[in-house]
Amino acid sequence: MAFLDCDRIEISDMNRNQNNKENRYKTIFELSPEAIVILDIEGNIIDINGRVYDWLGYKPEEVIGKNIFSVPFLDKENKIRVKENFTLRISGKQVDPYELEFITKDGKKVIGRVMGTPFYCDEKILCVIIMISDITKNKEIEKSLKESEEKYRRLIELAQEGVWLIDEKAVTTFVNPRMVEMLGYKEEKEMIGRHLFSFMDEQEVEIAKQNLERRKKGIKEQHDFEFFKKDGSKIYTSLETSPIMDKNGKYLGALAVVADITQRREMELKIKESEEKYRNIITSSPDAITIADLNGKIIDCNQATLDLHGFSKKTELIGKDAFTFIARKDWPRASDNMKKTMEQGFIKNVEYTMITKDGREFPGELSASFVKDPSGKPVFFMAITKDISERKKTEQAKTEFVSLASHQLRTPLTTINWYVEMLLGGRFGSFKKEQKEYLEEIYAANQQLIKLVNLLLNVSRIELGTLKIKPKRIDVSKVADREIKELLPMIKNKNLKIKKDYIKNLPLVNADPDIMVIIIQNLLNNAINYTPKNGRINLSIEKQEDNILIKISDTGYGIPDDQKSRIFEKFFRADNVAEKEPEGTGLGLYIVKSVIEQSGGRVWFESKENRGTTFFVKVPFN
Amino acid sequence: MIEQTINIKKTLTDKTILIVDDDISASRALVNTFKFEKFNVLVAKNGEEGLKLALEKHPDIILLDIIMPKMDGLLILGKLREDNWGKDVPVIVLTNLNEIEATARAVKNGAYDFLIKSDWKLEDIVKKVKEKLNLK
Repeated sequence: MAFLDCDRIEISDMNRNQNNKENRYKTIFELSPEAIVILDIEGNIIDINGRVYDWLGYKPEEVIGKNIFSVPFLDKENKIRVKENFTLRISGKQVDPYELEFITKDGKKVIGRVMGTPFYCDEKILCVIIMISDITKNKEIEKSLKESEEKYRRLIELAQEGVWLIDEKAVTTFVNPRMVEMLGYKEEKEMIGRHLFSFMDEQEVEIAKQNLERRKKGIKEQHDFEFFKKDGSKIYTSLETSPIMDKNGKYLGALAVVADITQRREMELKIKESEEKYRNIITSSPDAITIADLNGKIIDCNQATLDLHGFSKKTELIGKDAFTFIARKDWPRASDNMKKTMEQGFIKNVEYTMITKDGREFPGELSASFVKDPSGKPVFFMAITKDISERKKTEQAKTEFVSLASHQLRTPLTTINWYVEMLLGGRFGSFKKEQKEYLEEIYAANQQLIKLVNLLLNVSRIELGTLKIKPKRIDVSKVADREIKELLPMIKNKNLKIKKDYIKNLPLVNADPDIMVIIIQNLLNNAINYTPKNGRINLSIEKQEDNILIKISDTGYGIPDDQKSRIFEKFFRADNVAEKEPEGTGLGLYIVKSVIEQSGGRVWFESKENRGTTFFVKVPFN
Repeated sequence: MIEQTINIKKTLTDKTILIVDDDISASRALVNTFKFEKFNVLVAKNGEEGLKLALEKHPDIILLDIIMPKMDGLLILGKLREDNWGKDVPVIVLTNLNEIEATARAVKNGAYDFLIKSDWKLEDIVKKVKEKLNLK
């Protein structure tokens, strides 16, 4: 081997020792963890160790004898660097270790740290020994560390949260830009070096002292805290604080991640205020308000609820079923209504028999709504209940008054009616023509009075709101037929032609039969009364989406254009018919419109004077 | 008193009608009419007597007013329906009280009809009665 030729030349008489020494060096050379390349002064490779092969994949025979400036494991650029450094070394100059990129036999790039030293013999450079440590891994680690550090540095700089570091004496050592901005400063240096306590008022200092004590014990925590801003205003923050300890557990300081919660706090305060306000409204409401969960269990209620149902404490009610307030007989209805509330979100003014704690019953009215959270998820029911005993009494009194008043009016009218009828019947002897005519006048006037009483009774009921609507499934065509039959004598008397036009398979409608009678009777009556002899009346019933449309048209006097807008007014009579039919009351259409609208329907008309009128009535199926 | 039986010499009908009404004028017109129609007529001028008379004499049909002293017509109807004989007797409510609740209660208690006096001619009331009793 060509290793340490100089020794061999110089000390030829000490061969044996020399051989041992050589072997030793040779072993070190081969076992070295670093790649070693020996170059002659021309830059030709004299020898390489096994590590070169391990590392770069080149066998000694592939590179020995080659010039370092033409080896395959260096690219052009690196060859130039090597050449420069080699030239410096040969000329006896010192070259600091440097990093170089190598290319392995299979094309991978690796990095080595190159350290070379010239080997002298008789003050002449004999060769140059180059030792290369593989630092590829170190470089990768270094690179990733650098990247990671960069990432964290940027994270801290750009963080939406402030980052604040203090040392063991609570002196600020680091703040990120967000922290600086949060406290209204411009630069970090305005804060660095200042004691933590200089950013807060005395009260907070006391709290901070206790906090720092806990930090020294190694306790991490989250808490809200108030700081002074540069301008003296307060900022509300939420802090995540952690102690910083060394390996031995010695306290070095603390780190805080700080979020500005001023807005959140203001919002919370507003919400709290608003909650307070609504709570007050509920608490002091004269109406009983109850809140129940989705299973109908009472969660809360106000004083008015306790008073209404005779309870003394809320605790008696919380957790109980909301049906506790309703008489058992109304439970099935209440249960249906609860479902309805869930479906449509609310229910209004439902009357129930309600009960008190000791079982006393009273008439009550309930409105309930389904309260949802912002995402639309149902959260609870809110019910408002009222004692309507007084209202019921008043309603009852009104109803009774009207009923009794009309009863009292009808009694003498009946007497007149029946006695005139008996006289005219001839049982008690016959009358002279004139006498008979006068009796007929009395009879007709009395009939008119009876009609008026009936109409007024309806008007009173409508206006007092005591008209009871009791819907049933009814066949409107049957009602119409019955009314036509009833009015047939009048129709014949005037020689009117009446035509019926009902669609087949007419659906049943949910309507009050008595109200339907009032509507059809009044409109037919008008058509008959206000159509001259030999005219025509047409009654049609059709189906329209969810409604039934009743059309009653005549070839009558019609409604003058300038009076059309007043035709549904109470006691209003159009001029053209007031003369021809003086017996009309002006109540019929008023009643028709009122009852139709109370039942959710609609009435309107089309009319031309002296041509005729058509009244349209729309009745919803339900 | 208050019972008044009018026997007709030769009755075309052997039917007895009980008229229960506190309004003397109305009652008198009805009595006269049904007498003319050859009915046996019983008359009561208040509710209590009406019920008593009905349960004693078992008339074929009853014309019953509602608002009356001592016992109102609807109460009488209820009591009649509790009686073995009274449960089936035809009753026509004949009143000037035009009220849905009253009509509903009467119908519930099996009233044959509910007529508002002022809206009905005597001859039509007679027709109703005869119709119920299958008389021509």
